[in-house]
Amino acid sequence: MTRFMRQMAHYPAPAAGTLLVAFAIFHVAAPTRAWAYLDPITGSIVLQVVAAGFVATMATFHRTRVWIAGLFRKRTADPES
Amino acid sequence: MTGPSPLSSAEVLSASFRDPSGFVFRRDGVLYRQVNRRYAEHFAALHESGLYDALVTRGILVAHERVEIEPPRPEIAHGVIRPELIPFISYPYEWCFGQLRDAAMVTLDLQLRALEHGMVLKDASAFNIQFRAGRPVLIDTLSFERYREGEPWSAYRQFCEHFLAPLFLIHDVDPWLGRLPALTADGIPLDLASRLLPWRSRLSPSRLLHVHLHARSIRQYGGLAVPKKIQRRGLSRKALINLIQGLRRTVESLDWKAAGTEWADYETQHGYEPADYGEKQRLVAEMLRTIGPATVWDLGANTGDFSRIARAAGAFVLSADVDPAAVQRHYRRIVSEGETGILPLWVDLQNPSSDLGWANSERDSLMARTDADAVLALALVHHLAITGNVPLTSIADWLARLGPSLVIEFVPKRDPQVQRLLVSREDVFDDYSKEGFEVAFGRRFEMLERKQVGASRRTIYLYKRLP
Repeated sequence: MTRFMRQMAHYPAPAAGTLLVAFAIFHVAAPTRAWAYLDPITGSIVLQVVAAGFVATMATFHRTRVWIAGLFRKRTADPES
Repeated sequence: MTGPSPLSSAEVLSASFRDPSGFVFRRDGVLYRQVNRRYAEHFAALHESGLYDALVTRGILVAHERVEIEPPRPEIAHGVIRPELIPFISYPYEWCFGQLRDAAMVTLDLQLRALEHGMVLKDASAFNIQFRAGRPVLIDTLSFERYREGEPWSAYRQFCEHFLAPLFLIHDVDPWLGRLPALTADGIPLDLASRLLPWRSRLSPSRLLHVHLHARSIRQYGGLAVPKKIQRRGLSRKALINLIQGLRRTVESLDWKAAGTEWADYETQHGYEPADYGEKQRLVAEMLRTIGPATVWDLGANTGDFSRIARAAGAFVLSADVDPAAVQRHYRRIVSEGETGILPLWVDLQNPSSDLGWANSERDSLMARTDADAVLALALVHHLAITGNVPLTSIADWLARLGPSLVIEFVPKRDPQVQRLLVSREDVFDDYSKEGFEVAFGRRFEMLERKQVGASRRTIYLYKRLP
């Protein structure tokens, strides 16, 4: 466990959860080796690829939540139909 | 001996040098854009893909027409276009929160539309967005290029620095941080934004990702090549669209409540009885009709009551105020009313925008953009003279530089609004009197009218600049 992750344990669960998920994705997706040529925005490209994955995950959660909420709404509406 | 070269007869605009795709120039007072050969393929794709028509129809890209004139640099030219003109060029550090937010939304919409047509927005500079008829529009026609599957958005960092960082800082910390881009001239560096944002911003996924982790990633990979793993993975079109839509949701969710600042509630605190305020409106309207201006600068405009009067007189109005909340309220009012001829700007008249950027010539100062036919300076002079300690003669000199006609209000020392300014300081303003005012302004202007405003002690003057 890194120092960062140990620090996160002190924070409220939702906040720590958000941070840990983002931190984990970031470090899994971000190798530390250097390659042939210099690129001043390498960090931005790496983060963008990571961010796209994170945003997609968030969107999936959002769609799932809407879908589940929709199921309950339908059930509520059923008796009247 | 040869005649003048095409380049010598054209004035290349000083802000137009970074993009090798082309540049903007002026010849015989007309604005053109040279399209360079290296951009020819993308320029053709912009039209053939239908993107140009889609964006122009939607009102988020300025229209242009191809013209057959000698390009300034024929050796690299593909052609020349004449873009539609924007009435006044403003800069992001002069916009209120709502204007910056709407400009960000348009930038993301442009990117989404471009992707639908197999193209991509190659840069996301806030300076490429201007306000036309009250709404944001892209002025850089050469900002699109063909999209290549798997390629990340090269303008992502620029978008975060030019739009997201200032929006988050205004929203989470203080509206005056919207002025930071005037220091950096190219957006707010993400490491700086990360340090300035409060710690709790790390609990927001959008701020965490697009600012804090983004800044960390830039730092971590500074001077390194893109890792092969990332190169192989790339960014699919669908993932890119998800990212842009995520950014769009983030920007859309931002709202800044414009209230509680000094002038945002001015309409109820201007110190006038309702009848006198109505009389002031009538007098100003009458004086503006006498002038018949095409362009009016309303200085200290607050939420724009008198800008509307100038607009009703047929003028395009630049409406400046120092209070970001007042400008925000004014902008919201303009958007909700669909007003097209007023541009509200956030300007500190005691420290207006200066020449910025490369060689101090990339972004013009406010004074360099002066083109007013008439200036409105209502309930303004006492703030400059008493709060700002600016001598009346200096105020007169400055206003004379702004435009040939002036409608100006003098508020005497006995007025409660001036008494409020003097309540906690020694009155060292011996020259601040109606007589002193008329002497100072008489040096630079000819008085055409002088009217008392109803039962108030205030006076409104119509002046014409002396030759």
